[in-house]
Amino acid sequence: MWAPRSKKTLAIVLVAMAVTLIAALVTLAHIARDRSDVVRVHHPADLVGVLLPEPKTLDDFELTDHQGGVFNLARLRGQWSILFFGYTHCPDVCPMAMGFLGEVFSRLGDNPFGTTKIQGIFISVDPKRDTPELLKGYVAFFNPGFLGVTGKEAVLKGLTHQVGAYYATNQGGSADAYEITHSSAFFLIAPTGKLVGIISPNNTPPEMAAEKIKRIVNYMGGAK
Amino acid sequence: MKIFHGSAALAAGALALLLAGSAFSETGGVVVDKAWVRAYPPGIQVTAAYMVVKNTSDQPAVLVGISCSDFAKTEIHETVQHQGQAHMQAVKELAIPAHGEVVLKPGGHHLMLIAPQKDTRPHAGDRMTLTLTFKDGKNVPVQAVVRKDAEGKPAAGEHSQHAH
Repeated sequence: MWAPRSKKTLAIVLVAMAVTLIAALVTLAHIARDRSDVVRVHHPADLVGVLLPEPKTLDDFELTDHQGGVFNLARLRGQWSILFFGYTHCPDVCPMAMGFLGEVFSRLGDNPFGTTKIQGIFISVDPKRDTPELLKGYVAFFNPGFLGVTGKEAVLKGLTHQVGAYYATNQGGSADAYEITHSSAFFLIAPTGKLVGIISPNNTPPEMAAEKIKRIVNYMGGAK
Repeated sequence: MKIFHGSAALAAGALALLLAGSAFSETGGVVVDKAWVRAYPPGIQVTAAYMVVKNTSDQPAVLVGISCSDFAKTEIHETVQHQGQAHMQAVKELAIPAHGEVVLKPGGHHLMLIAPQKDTRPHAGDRMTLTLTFKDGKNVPVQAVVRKDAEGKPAAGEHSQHAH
């Protein structure tokens, strides 16, 4: 059996053990606190995992829509919004997601929540290649009412970070041939301008997703 | 005469296969079914082709390339989704095991079509010819239908692809 060769070694081993123990306790405390957060909020069972425990306030930002207009936090207020972050040079995930969102919107119809509207927004995280003009044709292909938005890299980074989305450019063979890793979820913003939920389609049929969105809107009441 | 009838039947069979080829291609052990190309918005430079590639032979078939005269460049790709993030990676080879199949579908393996060469965009229901190239040098022509929607939602006017 291994035995410490000196008192000094023994002391080091004891200190190391104490540090490990403290680290474990701190970790456990964190886990316990996170769990208490989850338990404290009582969303209906079918909405847990979609809705955040609490709506998240967003800081203002300034991007540009496909008409060249300012797109900021105020544009997210007064109606429901569903955001998707992608890029038009994406051949698979983005058209799949936007096609899905188009299907969901056609099932929601014109006025699913009375006078409160819902807008579908494609935010391009590729401002270098995705001009407002290109985004205009892109979003209209999926739904005539969808908005295309992009802007400065730093603002896009800030907004994706705020909502818990993600993107990173993977440099390709040439300056114009690159791909972007990005979130594949949809971000649901309430008429208050607060982020309330994250929807991952995961092969959900569009009609079910439309029903879920109606359910969330009814449940949240647009007031929170 | 019996031999004549036999040849006629064979010729008719070959013709039927040729005609059916629009939906169902079979060349030396590789069978491609349900091929479709995603319709794309104006000004967009990329899209994807999807299909089921079946290998009816005793040897693995290795897909190494795809070509389509309507696009300047093509790549075999795979979408990888991990913890809510998606990214694509180029795949040099795609092996279809002996007596197996590989399904190329949205969110998984797909054939990326880059830089459209025609001024007019294809519309749902249009047909497009793709050529799959395998490691052994074999080329398999595939007739794909252009669709706007993902699988399970047939494009307008699309008929059943299982004529056999």
